[in-house]
Amino acid sequence: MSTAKFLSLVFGVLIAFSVLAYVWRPVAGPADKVPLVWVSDNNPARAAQIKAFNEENPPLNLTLDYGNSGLQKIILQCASGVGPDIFDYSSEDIETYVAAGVLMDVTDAANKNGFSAKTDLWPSGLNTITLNGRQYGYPCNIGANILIYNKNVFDYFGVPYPEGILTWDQFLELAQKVSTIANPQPGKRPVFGATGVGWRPIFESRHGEYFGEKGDLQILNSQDLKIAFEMHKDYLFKYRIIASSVETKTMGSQGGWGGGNLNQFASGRFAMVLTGHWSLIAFNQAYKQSVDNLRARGINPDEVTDPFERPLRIGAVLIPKFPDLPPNYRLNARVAGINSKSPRREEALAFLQYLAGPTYSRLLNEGTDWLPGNPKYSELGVEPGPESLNRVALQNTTKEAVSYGYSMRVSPYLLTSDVSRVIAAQVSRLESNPDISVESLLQSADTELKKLIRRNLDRNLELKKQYIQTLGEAAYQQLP
Amino acid sequence: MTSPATLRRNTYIALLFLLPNLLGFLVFTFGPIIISLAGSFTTWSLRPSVALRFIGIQNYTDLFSDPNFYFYLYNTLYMLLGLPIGIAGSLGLAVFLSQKLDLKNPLAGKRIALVAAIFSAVVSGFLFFIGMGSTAFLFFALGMITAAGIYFGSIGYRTFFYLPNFTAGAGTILLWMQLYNPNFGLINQTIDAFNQLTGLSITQPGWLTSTKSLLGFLPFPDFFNNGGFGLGAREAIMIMGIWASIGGNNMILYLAGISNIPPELYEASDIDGANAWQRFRYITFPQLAPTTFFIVVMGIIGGLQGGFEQARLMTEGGPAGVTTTLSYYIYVQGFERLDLGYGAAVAWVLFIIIMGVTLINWHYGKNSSGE
Amino acid sequence: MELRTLLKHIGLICIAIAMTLPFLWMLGSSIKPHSEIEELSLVPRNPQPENYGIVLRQSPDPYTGKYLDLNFPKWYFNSVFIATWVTVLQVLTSSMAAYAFARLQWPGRDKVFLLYLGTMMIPGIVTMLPNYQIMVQLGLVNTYQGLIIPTAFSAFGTFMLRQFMLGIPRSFDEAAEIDGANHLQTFLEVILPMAKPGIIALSILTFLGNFQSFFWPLVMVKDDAMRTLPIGLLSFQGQYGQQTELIMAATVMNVVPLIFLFIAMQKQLISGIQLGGVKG
Repeated sequence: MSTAKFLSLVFGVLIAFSVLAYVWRPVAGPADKVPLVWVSDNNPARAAQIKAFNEENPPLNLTLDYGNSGLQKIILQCASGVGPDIFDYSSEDIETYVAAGVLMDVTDAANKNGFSAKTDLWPSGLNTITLNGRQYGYPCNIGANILIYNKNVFDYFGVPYPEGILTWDQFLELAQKVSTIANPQPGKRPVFGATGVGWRPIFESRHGEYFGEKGDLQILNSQDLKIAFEMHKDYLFKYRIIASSVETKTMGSQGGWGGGNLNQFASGRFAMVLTGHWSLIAFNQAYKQSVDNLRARGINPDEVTDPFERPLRIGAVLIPKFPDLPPNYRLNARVAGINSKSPRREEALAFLQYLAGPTYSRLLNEGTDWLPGNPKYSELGVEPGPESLNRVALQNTTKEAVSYGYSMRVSPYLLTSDVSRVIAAQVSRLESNPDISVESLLQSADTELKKLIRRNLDRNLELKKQYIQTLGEAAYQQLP
Repeated sequence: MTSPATLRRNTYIALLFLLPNLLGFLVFTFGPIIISLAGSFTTWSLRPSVALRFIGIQNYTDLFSDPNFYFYLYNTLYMLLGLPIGIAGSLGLAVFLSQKLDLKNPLAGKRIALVAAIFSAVVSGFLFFIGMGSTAFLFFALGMITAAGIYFGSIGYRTFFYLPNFTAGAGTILLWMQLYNPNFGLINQTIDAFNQLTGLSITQPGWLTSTKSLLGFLPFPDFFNNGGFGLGAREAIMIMGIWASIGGNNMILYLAGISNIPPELYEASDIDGANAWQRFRYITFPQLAPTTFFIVVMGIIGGLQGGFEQARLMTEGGPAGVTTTLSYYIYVQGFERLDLGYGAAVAWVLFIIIMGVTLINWHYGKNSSGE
Repeated sequence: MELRTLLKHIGLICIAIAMTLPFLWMLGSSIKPHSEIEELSLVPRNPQPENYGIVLRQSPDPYTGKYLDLNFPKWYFNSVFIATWVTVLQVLTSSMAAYAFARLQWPGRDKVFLLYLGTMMIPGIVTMLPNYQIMVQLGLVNTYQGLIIPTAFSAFGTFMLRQFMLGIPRSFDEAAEIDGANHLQTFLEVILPMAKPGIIALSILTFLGNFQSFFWPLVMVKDDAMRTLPIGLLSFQGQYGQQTELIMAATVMNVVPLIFLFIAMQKQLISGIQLGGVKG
């Protein structure tokens, strides 16, 4: 076959292919409705939540797009004008999104339509969706972490369940009793005391802040951070009640709804976990699975005596505190924001209104996905569920934690995500080398962050002026 | 000699042939490169609040005065340590595969293969029946591989060696993450079992959780987060990389090179009574010098640019920044900090480094291979 | 003699097992039920071959009772479609450019060639963002054209085919010239058929490389219907967990056809790489 004929054959095939590609296009939604795209995760309850929204808003057609999320992608897409209409973001990242200019300021609409941060939100959660007095979305869910304990593991070690609120010293004692890694006992399975514990919850229980009121960095001399690091170090190396963060991450990749360490907790590798009660989504599945397995083997789940064969039984208390300080918990939220460049952003406001309403709150509670943003409806749809999972107690403990909640201060000169990243790198250093002193870690973090501040200021002259005005010329000169 | 008219006509024709490629090249490769070079001298950022301003070499001075840059540069160069092992491995496999593998009696070979296949099928079926599923599967695979190897000879083995090349991606990375788990992963559990069996106590390496490295005994400054001597995250990634590439394109290039060596050279050495090692050292290896040179140059170019996917999916650059290579650093600066000008500056410094190393290699290689 | 050969075989078999073991593990994991995915066993106790059905949307997920919302068959089609187009375009433009570099004399030829080579040393991430902006301006984000066009030009392909063409004896060109052929005819009827091993090798390498490309589709693709396979696999990881067994099943389906392709084209691919590489 001559080359020319071969080439024509190839192009023929390509054209046929292209026709196929054209025909196999996704079907566009109903033409009379305004399509809205929501980028979120594949939480099993989403389908019902979207259906209810569409029923309440006939002119709109909301669809879910999961698998497209990720801070970098969303920002890049929105900035280029090809982003979704609504997307979820973690409240910790609000500054990055606002700095990139992709979040719509919804303050005025919120005040008029019942999803205002001031009146229709948990009071301690104000800063999860507002920045410098402007509101940038509404939470899909919100809450604070609590301490969940595995009753089966406690029974295995014969230790009574914790009650009320512990101090960190009491927690340490308890964790050592329920851990064979900390406290090797011949013939017993390997169990870690706790997961989800580390410098962060300790720091937050002291109402820790990265920035002072004027936006200045407060890492170097932070008592709170120092204490948190020291305790983290001891918990990991001296008392061995926790696993290092990298180790937890490699366990976390081993499949399972809710990340590996929740599954590990459910199967008894950890005695306690510090997490939000949205983890019930994973625990429900683990529970159902073990009950089904037992039934399939002809065993009645209620008659099992071996603690590790029994289906999951859990309880919850508040996260520990320091004896001389009141309890403090940082609020976190998964916030739905509107793409400021979307041509349908006005219509998308209806979704935020929906999130603050009773229908959504009920569906959220039925899906045990933390707390709804609107405290008025926090009890709708809370069903007891299987007794051993103690769902109502978990809900109430979380509400109590939220009442002690706070949000961290932000600074115009440095993104909180930069601080988190640098501190996490220092913690990582600590975990791999117990001989490093905490002071030197704080010093390194401080130097690196001050460098970033200087870089930000040198690139943004307005910001530099503001810095010098508020904090003084000397402070600027001291930046490395 | 070509007349000016012919030369001009040639140029027009050349341009016509070249045009589609050249156009694409200018728009999608060369153009963006110039844009990013220009951008590295400005405040180019994804934040609308930062106005685009020309700031000269400030990005570059910032990056050279940041100690972390040198740390990441060290990480990038460290990853090249795996290159000699990978290349030597590919060479070894190629030499191994070029040996005479046919049995004197080809029919005997086919019969052995058939027997192996049937035997393994029967035994694994039996094992499966009595409930030892994993062992059965393993035995079955063993049998099939043996049969395929003996039957097809070196072509069959080549296919098996090329397999890791295909399965690169999310699946392989997940797999290796599980293997490397310090408490529950297969590698450390094997070491543990070995210890219990022989009574030795070899330490179980921390792999992805450890900042130790094989060069960890050298005195490094503090911010290098050196954990001392041992097998850590960097080694974990290098081993995974070697596994993935040892049977790949390099091995095939070497196979080609070996098949081009004139047999008379070997016959001459046989007359002189050379043994296998001497044959390799004085004939095979020198004859393969051009191939080795090509592989080394491409390997360095690729290696200096790499480490991105592993860092992103396996370790997020940790622990303590130990697996952050320059490409991952560029990604974080550009996409997580939205600071594109700075990211572009780092990328250009990386390019200069790659170019420099390649030129040195070229010069050195030209001299030593006697061109 | 025989013993030595058998020992060599045994050595090779051991190495082959080491190479294949992870892939075997992947096969085994792809039919594991969710609860067994953390175990290190090669083979599940309660195999669940429905995993393949779940990925292909033929059976529902046993835990949620729902069908998967992801369009795995479409992803497969997208990957194959895009890779085919890119391969054809790349081979075409590269061979034409290679002819210009190898056979024609024109001023600045070698300097331009060095420029091509130099661009191969640029980290890919450098060109990615400006390319993305260009696509945005042209409105080609999240389209097939946007995924195909920027990757359809390759300096590497030009380089490789140029080496090939340099190795084709000029006598063929001269014979064609005597017969009165112009450059286009020489190119089509003489050079291209002679460079076939190189072209086949380049096609296979380009196809494989594009099939598994990750970074560019990651940035360009928005809708589920436009995803390619590597990007689609990411969707199995949600905030609420990761269904590793489905990822494994999808990866196996991704890889097996490539393996068959490799086995079928082994001879041409290898002779192509050999001829192209050694002269480089």
